[in-house]
Amino acid sequence: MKSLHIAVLPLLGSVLLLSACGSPSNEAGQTATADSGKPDFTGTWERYPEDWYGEDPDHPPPPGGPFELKEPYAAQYAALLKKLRAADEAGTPIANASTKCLPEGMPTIMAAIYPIEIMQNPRQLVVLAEFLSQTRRVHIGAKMPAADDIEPTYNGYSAAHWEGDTLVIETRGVRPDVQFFNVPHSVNMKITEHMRLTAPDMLENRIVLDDPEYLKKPYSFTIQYKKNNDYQIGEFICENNQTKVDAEGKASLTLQTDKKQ
Amino acid sequence: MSVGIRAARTTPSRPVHPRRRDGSVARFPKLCPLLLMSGLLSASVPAAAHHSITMFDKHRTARVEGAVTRFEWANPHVYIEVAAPGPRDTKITYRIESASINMLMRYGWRYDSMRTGDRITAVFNPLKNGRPGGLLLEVTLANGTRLKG
Repeated sequence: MKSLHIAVLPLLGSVLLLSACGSPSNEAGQTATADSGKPDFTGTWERYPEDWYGEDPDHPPPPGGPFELKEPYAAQYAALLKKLRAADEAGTPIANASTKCLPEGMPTIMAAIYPIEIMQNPRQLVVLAEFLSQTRRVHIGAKMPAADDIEPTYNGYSAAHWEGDTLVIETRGVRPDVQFFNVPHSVNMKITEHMRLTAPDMLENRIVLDDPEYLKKPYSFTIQYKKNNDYQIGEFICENNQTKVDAEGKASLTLQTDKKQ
Repeated sequence: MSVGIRAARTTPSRPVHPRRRDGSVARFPKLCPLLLMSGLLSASVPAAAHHSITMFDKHRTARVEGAVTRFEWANPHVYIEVAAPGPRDTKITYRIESASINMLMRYGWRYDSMRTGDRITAVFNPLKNGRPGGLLLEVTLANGTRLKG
């Protein structure tokens, strides 16, 4: 019964959001919410361009180039990358958060490896990710709480305001174990997003990660999305994880013989 | 983003069975989903992001024909177990991992695409460690339908 509740709650949440935000459908060319006069990002969005991941889809490059970390984090990160490469070459990849069915969190959720749906009203922008059925809430017009009052979470706390046609979102309180490209960060990391429509069916999100404790300078990258309202996002419950993770963190596939042991 | 985007998958810009606004599902004839993919759907991106696929040997392809002993239609990955003849009258059960439900539906799969006992042929990248398993590339169902893995 407990698992049933877990499965049903996100659906209830989606229904309530639909009521609060109005229909997710958006007529072509309609770019402003009727009640606020602000651009409307509501819709289902796919990462753009289609070959965003580069030559090797299993190892997409960091979207803003190499990360410039301070010491000792730079050396630790280099050692981690070396360990990951060696594990991959040996066919025993190191498990990551997603391998354990944990949410991607910020900012990875915005990378839209699967499509994302955005639902917007004057007070909230809600991101519903197909992968792992994740939900992220951005509070428009809200004041950022004091650092001590923010509980570290996967997506952190996001407060946003409009600057013309651009929604500027500040996020704080992302858990340090929620990492983008395995890059370490402090709980004080600030993520700033500038979201705007560059065409009725094109959305741009300029993202800056700022963490003076870990990064030599802010890390910037841009993600583009193309609207595809013909697609309806499906449920994604990570219930059948058959990947074994050993004491060294190495992942392998559970075989029938393993299950009998 | 964590390591290991599981991908090399094409994602149609439209799902193979798009859900209509009235809630019904538009279905294409079960003729040849591979043709549907190339003809009706433009290639695009995403992929599953659950784990690295470096445990599989993407430079080798294996083929197994046998009876389905288990079909797990679930996320993060759909699994098929196939029993095939082994040496000296033994049977080997291969455990073959496929993409997520969400990806497979784009490729034309259904929750009931196969059942226990169905004879199938699976083409897959085998596990690097030599054990009986791998990553599905394509399956041919008992009725001849070919589905991308």
